Amino acid sequence: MTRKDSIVFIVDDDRRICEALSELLATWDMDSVAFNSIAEYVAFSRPDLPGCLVLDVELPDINGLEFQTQSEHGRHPPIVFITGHGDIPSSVRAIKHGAVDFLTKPFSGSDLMRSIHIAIDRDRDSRLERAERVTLQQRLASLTTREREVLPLVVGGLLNKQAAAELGISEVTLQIHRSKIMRKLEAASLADLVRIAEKLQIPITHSRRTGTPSK
Amino acid sequence: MVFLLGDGVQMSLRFTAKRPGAPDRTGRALRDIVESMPGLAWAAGADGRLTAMNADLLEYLGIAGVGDFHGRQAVHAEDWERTDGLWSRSLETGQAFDSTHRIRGAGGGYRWFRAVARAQRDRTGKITGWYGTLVDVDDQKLSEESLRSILDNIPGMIATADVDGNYTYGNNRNREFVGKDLRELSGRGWLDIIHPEDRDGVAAAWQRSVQTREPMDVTHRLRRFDGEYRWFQARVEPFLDENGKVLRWHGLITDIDDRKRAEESLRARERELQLLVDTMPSLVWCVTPEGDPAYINKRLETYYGRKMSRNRSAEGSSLSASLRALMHPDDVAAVEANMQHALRTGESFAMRYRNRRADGVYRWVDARAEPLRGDDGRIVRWYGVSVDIDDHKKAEEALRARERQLQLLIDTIPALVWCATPEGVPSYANKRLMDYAGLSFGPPEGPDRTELGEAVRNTVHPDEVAAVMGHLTHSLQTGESLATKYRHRRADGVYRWVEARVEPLRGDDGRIVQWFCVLVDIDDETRAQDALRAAQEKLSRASQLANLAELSASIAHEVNQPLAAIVANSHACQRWLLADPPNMQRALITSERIVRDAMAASEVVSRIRALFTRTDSTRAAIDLNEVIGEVGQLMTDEIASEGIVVETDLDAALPPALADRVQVQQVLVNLIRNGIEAMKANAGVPKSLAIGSRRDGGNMVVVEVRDNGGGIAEPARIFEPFFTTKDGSMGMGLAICRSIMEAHDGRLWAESLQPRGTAFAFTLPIQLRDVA
Repeated sequence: MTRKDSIVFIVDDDRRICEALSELLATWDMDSVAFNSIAEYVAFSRPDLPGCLVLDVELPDINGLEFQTQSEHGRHPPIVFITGHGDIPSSVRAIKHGAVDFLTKPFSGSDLMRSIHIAIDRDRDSRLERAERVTLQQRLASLTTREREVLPLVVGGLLNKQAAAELGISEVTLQIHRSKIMRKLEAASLADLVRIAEKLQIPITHSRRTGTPSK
Repeated sequence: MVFLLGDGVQMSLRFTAKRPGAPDRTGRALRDIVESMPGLAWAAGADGRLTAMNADLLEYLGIAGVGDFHGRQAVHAEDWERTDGLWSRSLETGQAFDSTHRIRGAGGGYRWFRAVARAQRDRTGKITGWYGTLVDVDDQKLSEESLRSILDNIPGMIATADVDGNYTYGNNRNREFVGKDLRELSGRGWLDIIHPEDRDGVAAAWQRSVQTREPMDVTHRLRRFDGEYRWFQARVEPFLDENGKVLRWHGLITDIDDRKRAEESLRARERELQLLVDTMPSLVWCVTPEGDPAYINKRLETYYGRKMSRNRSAEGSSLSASLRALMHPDDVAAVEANMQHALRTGESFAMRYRNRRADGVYRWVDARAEPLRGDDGRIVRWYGVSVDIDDHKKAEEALRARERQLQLLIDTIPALVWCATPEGVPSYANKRLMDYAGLSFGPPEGPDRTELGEAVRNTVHPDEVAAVMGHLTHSLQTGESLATKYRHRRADGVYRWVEARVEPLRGDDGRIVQWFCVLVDIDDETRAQDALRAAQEKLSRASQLANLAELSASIAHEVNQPLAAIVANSHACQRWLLADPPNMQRALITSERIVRDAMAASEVVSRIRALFTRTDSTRAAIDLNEVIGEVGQLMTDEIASEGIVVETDLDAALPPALADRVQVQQVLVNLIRNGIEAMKANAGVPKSLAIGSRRDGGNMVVVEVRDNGGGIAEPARIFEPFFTTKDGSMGMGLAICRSIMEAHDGRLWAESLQPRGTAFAFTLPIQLRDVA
C-alpha cells in the first residue's frame, strides 16, 4: 500500500529519535521530515498534503503542549505527542485540545503507526470537507440578490405560492429563480439543495407549517 | 637794781664803791630815794663809779655799804667782760645800759639779774649820774635756757622769720639736718635746700603768706646734709602783736617722709585693690549695715549700664530703689526678705535671682555677701559679689532636661538596661528591668558582698549561672565587651531567653568608667527560630525526597530516550526483514543503531550507578587544567564546526582537586556543549567561549565556562530535570551534573552575564596533602 500522498513531520531534539522514527516510517513507505526544534518546523514550508505532526513534549525552545494551545486550530496537522516523561494531566490536556494520541517513550512502533494513520485520515477528511465548503461558497457567491432571498424560503419548505407571496412576486417568477438556484448550486434535487444549504449554514427563516416568519 | 649816778661824777668802769660822806645835796637827796626804793636799786656817778645801793641790794650782796662793792668779784666771771663792755659803751655814748648777767649773792651763789640804767642829765644835757635797777631774772633765765634746749631737742625743726619773711632762726635739728649754719640759711637762702621740683611752689606759697599774713602749710622735700631728700610738712604761722601787726613768723617743719611713703604705698595698694575690684570678672558691691548700697564696682556699673552714684549720702535709699528696679519683679520680694534677714541676724547672704542687664535681658546671678565687723563686733559693712550664672544655669537646665529625657528614654526603650561600676557592682537599672525582674536595686548591703554575683544568682537560670558569671568576670578583668544569651528570670518566675550585650565606657585616659549592659528579650524569637529550624529540617528531608524524585525522573528520561529510539529502530528493522523482498541493507543499519543506542542507555545506567555508589576509590588528585585541556581536545571538531573561538584563562598555580576524573570530564563536556548550543543563534555576534580556572578562597578551586549566547531567563531553573540537553551520546542533564558536583562536596551554578551570555561554574575541594 502506498502512502506517498501523505507526509509525517517529526519534532524531537534527540536526533536518535528522529532518526529511528524516520526509519520506521520509511519501512511503511511513508515520507517524513524531522526537526530538532519547533522553530525549525515552523520555518519549514510544508507541502499541501494530508499529514501528521509527531511532537515531543520537552523541547529546547517551547513546550510541545504550549505550542499546541498557542497555534491556530487547523493550521497544523493533527498531533501525536511523544514524551519521555508522561503524566496524566498532560495527556488529558493534550487530548482535550485535539491531539490524536499521547505516547510515552518507549512506545511500540505499531501504536505509533496506528496513531499516525488516524491522524492522517483525520487530516485528509478535514481537508476534503474544507475543500467542498470552499466550492459551495464559490457557487453561493454566484447567486443574485433575489436568488439569495428565495433560497432560504425554498429550503425552509414553503410552497412556491407561499414563497412568491412572501416576496410579493408571481409564482412563475419564483419557479424561474428556484430552477436557477438549483442549477448554480449544482443541486440534483430539493433534498440535495437542503443539504447544501445546511453546509453553507443558510438560516431557515420561514417554515411551511406557519407560513409566517419564525421567531 | 638801779644805779643812781651822781651829777658830774666820773664813773670808772669798775663798780667800785664811792667813798661816803661826799657833800652833795642833790646827790644826797637822790641817794636817799635810791636807798628807800623797793626792789634792788643803785646809782652811779657820771664817771661810772657806784655811789649808792639800797638796803635790799646791800643785803643781797651781803655788804655793809656801797664802798664794799667790787664789780669784778660780784659779777660772774663768764659775764664780766661782756657786762663791763656794755657799761663802758653806755658811759661813752650816754645810751641806756641794759645787761643781763649773774651776780653773786651773800651766800656765794650766783643769780641772773637784768641791770638797766639811765643817764641823769642836767639842763645842758650833761650827764650828771646814772640810776639803775636790778631785776632778778634767774627763774626766767632758767626757763629760757630749758626752752632753748627743748627747741633744740624736740623731734622737729623749728625756724623763725622776720616780718619780711627772712629766715632768722632755726633750731639745732634744723641746722644739723640741712648741714648749714644760720648765715647760709638766712634771708631766702633756705630755698636752696628745697627739692627743685617743690621749690617754686613753696617759694610762691611763702610769698603769698608773707603778703597776706595767712598761715602757710606746705609739704615738700628737703635736702639732708648728705644730699638725700626727705618729705617734710612745713606749717608757718604769723606771730602778731595786739594791733594785728606781724612781729615774726614761727615755723614748724615736721619730717613726714615715712608717713608720706606709707601713704603712697597705701595709695598704690588702694589703687591696685580698686583695679582688682574693677577688673575682677564678677560684680562687686557693698552696702551699709542698714542695707543701703555704698559701692558697686565698674563691672557692675557696666553690667547695669548705668552710672551709679557712689555717694552714699541721702540718696542711698533711692539707689537701693533703683537697684531693686533692676531685679526681676518675681524675685524682688524674696531678695528683699533674704537681705533683711541677713542684715538683722548678721548671717551670710546667698541667693540666686534674676537681674536685668544693660541690654534689658534678665539674667540669673548668684549673689553672696558677708559682713565686715568692727573691733566692737558691730557690722561695719556688707561686702557682696554677684556672679552672672545665667549661661551656667541655662546649661544646667538644658542638661537637666536632657538628663530627664535620657532617663525617660532609658526607662521607655523596649530593652532592659543596667549599669555597673568598673569593679562590676551594679549601680543602676532602668525601670523596665526592675519591673521585668521584679527587683529593686539598692546600694550593696555588705562590704564583702559583690552584688553582681547576687544579681546573677537571682536572675539567671541555674544552668547558666556559672557560664554567665564566667563571661562577666572575664569581661571585668580584661575590659572586653561581651555578647551572650541566657535565660533570665522574669518577675512571674518564668525564665525567658535574653540577649545580653555588655560594653565598657572608657574615659579619656582609656580607663573604664562604667559598664553598660543591655538585655533584649529574645524568647519569642528564639522559640520561633527553634520552630523554624525544625521546619527547615523537615523541609530539608522533603527536599531530599523531592531531589530523589527529580533525579529518578531525570534518570528515566535519560534512559527512556535511547530506549525509545531502540524500540522504533527494532520495529523498523523487523519490517525491513519482513518486507518482500527483505531490505537487508536497511535492516542492518537499523540493527546497528539499536546496538549503539542500547550501549548509550547502558552507559547512562552505569554512570548513574557510579554516581550513587559514591566510591571514593575513583577519586584522586587531579589537575583540573589538564582535564580542561583533554575535554577541549575531545570537542575540537564540534567547536570548530560552529566557528567558536575558545579563550582559556587557567591558573598555573592551581592546586590539585580531589575528584573523579571521568565525572568531571562529563560535567565539563556538558557545560561546553551547553555553551555551544546557547551561541547557535548568535547573529552578528562572534561566538566566544571562555574557560577559566582559579583558586577560590582557602580550600576550593573554581572552573568557569562562559559563553556569549542569548542567555537564560532563569538561571536557577535550568537545573530542573527536563532542561537537560538530550543531544549526543554524552548527553546528561544539568541536574545530574549538579548532583555529581554536590557528591564531590562542590557546587554547580549558572549566572547571567551582561550584556549577554551565561556563565556556568563549579567548585571542587582541594586535595589536601595529608589525604594523599
